[in-house]
Amino acid sequence: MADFLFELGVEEVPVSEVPRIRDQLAAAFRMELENEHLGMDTMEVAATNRRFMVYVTGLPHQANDRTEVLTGPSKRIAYDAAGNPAIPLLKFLEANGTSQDDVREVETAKGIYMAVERRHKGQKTHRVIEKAIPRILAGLTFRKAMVWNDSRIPFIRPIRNILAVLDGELIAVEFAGVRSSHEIDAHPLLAEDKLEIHSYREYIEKLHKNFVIPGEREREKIILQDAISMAADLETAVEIDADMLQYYIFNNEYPVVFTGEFDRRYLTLPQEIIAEFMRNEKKLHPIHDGSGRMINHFIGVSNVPDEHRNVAGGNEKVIQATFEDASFFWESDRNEAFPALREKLSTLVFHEGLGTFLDKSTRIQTLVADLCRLTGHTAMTEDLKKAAEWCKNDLVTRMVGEFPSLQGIMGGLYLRETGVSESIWRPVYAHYEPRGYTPDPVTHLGGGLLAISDKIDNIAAFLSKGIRTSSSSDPYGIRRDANSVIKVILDLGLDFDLADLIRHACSLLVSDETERNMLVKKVVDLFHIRLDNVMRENLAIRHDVVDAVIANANLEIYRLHLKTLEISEMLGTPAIQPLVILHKRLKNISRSDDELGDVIPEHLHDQEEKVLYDILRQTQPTINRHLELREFRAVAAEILQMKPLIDNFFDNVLVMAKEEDLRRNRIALVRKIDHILMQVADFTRIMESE
Amino acid sequence: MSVQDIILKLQEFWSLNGCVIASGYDMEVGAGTMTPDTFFRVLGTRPWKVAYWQPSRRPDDGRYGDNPNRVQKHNQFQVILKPIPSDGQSLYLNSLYHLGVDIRIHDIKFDEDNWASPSLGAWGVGWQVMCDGLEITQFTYFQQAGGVELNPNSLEITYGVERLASFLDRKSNIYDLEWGHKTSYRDLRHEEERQFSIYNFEAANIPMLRDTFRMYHDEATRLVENGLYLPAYDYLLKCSHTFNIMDARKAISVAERTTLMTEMRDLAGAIAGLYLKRIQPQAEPGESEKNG
Repeated sequence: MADFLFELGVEEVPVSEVPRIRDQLAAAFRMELENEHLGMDTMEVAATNRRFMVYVTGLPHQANDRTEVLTGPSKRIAYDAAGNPAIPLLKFLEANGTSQDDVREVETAKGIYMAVERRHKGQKTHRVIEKAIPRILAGLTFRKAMVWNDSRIPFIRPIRNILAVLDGELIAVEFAGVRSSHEIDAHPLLAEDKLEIHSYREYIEKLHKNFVIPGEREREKIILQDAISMAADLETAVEIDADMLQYYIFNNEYPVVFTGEFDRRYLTLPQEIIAEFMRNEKKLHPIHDGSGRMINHFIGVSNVPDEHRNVAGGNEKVIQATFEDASFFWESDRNEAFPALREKLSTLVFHEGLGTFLDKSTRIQTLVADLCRLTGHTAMTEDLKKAAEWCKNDLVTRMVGEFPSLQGIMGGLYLRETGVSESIWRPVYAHYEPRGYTPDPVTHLGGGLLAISDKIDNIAAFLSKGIRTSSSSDPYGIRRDANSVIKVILDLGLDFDLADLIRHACSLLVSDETERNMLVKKVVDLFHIRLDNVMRENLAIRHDVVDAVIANANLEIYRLHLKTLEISEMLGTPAIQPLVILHKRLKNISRSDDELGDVIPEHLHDQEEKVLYDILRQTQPTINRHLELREFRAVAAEILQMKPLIDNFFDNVLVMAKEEDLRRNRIALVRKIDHILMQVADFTRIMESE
Repeated sequence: MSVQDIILKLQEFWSLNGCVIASGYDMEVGAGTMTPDTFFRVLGTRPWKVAYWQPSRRPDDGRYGDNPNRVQKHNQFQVILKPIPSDGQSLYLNSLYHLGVDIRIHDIKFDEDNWASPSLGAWGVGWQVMCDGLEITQFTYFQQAGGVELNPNSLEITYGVERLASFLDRKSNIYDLEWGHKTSYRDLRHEEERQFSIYNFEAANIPMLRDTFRMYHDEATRLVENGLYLPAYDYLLKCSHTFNIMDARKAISVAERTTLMTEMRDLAGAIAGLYLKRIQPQAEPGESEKNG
């Protein structure tokens, strides 16, 4: 058995891209090896912003020879009446470069098919990897790539080295003008020479000796332990948030935690501003006291030891200067009356052909009022209209001009300074959140309602200008905004049909009716796709359940989600299979005629249909009440209870009767049951237990 | 180490490493990148290694001399290496060593920071180099300039001289820095900062600036038509600085910004095209045709 060690050394990769590239590399190596039927024991991957390692153990030196059976046409069509090969078979043989002599019959579930065998010589592992590496590296995708040498091959940053060693032996490859070698880089500041590597053990040992801690978990442990003990020295605790921790782990090959201090007087700045400047500008982490108040200390992570407090001292100076700037903006912005800034929005264009931010904030006002009505939160209407009126004012403040990521937050804080009630400033503060389907729950109702109104306007506006998204690009954040809207609706349990709000938003942008209807459809379609995606990817709901529920084409997002949850629960119960079968039976009939009429009681003829109709009529109020209370499982249970009667009806009554009035009436009856079920889901889409 | 010592040391280091030591440009520029020794010389195929000290003006950064770190005119030390050497990062770290920085006890990080100048039709990929949390350098692999894809690419290293000095001198106020021979940064520059901040934020005559922007733009366009790309470029620089003053006053609406930016970018593209035609009329028709 052989082991294979790979390291790609690069100049500093943006931290946010490191895990993505690492995962792509791992998946690509796995696939290349699997394609050549090379098994393995373990695969380990590890990354920093300067190196990506893949280590595979238990590889054979060569893949086993193997035989592949290629199945061609079925025997039925393979030969003509005279027993000579027919065109399908001839084509198959030609495509595989074989002759009729090689053909044999194989039994499949679908019957007897013609097949040929192909022999594959097992490839040498060395050769497989040699061919794979350039292909794997060329196949990596990045947010932004660059070229730097004669190879003109785009990559995320210049490549420094490629280490590829199979059982101590170098695999010679070249990519983007870089040849593989045994040499790798150690720590860029602390180590002097390159390292020569022949084995995994040597790799790990030499890196450790030369100030690179290769394991991601190992670095995480150091950071967390040091942070805790340093916070303990300050008689407080620190909890590093996930994003910052991730940043520290990948941005430091030799992480050393340090603490620093700043002048207490900056604590008079709003905590949000302090935190924003520390985290986003300087990658420092704030510390809070026992009661949750920020203290004038911070922690940071250095890539070199800091015995003489050079790093801590430098960062102290820098953060102090940043707070000085922030104070300047905070003071100078507050010299102007915040609500009056709205007038300046008339010169701030939102987007070519979509008016100014003044127009936009007016549209948001209209939409948020409508949304309050739709969701039954009419008591909040007046406050939220005020919030909407001022929610974009901060775009013309100096603070947001300099630090755009503070938009919304600053508006809220400046409004708070003017003394308006929290029910007005808080929604402004929160209305850019969430940014996509993010993990943290949305909890503020006013902020959520304002966010939906703002984002629906964004989406409708950009789509009205023909702006598109593709799988790789979403420059206007249309998809992200749609995901945010879904997130807010689900987290806050807003029970309404989003399509109503979409229609309203489109009517504020497009006056021509045909055009407007097209836009509404575009936006609704977008939301169906996003909803489908969020349910599968973020909420891990089985795809057939999602299909079954979304097939029912409204945009009552909150209800749709409840339905998926209830159906997911039903999946494990004996109730589901009979329901699926029943619904399929109903659909088979009800699809056969497009005209929908009501059931006419006088046209009911047979006993079975009369009984079914009666029971349906009696149950209708119960079903309506269940729907009202969003008890979707109960609705399905009611129908399931009728199953014997329905089966009886199908078994004994001829739906497709010759007499038209009988036939129509019976179809209408079937339709009625189908319609009730469809208010829960299209159960015909549920797969048999997976 | 004084500010002038830093400049001298950097000139020495880069001269030893094969760079032409040029002078900064004698006009208002927002950054060393806009100096003709960078803007033109990164185009085309001819190798080029240059280093120069370039005072740079950013009206919006003025703080009336009150802020310890921000000034509307700061000093850049600019290096262009074309083609990109394979050891650019080590060369850079060596230059810090030459300045007396012990890199083993300072946290030097290359943090993602991609650079783009829409008005020059230029962009690059790279980092801001942070030293103990302070940004001291921009390190950029140029990808495009004047709207033209670059081949070969250039490496641009731009040191912030005041930042380096603050770091080396352990001063937290820029005005306390020693420029040289006991003359402080305050002696040399404080009044200038105060007056230009007042000018940029309060006294500048906006209608006049708007008119002159138009005149500079028209002159640049006329010069482009005459094939005089160097004077045309001077007028483009004047446009750019005028734009920056109006912008500092928030006198430019978003829509207007787009228009003016596009006008400047088009000029930059035309000027780059003329330059390429001039230096390699037949050698690389493909490249010179990309713009015109």
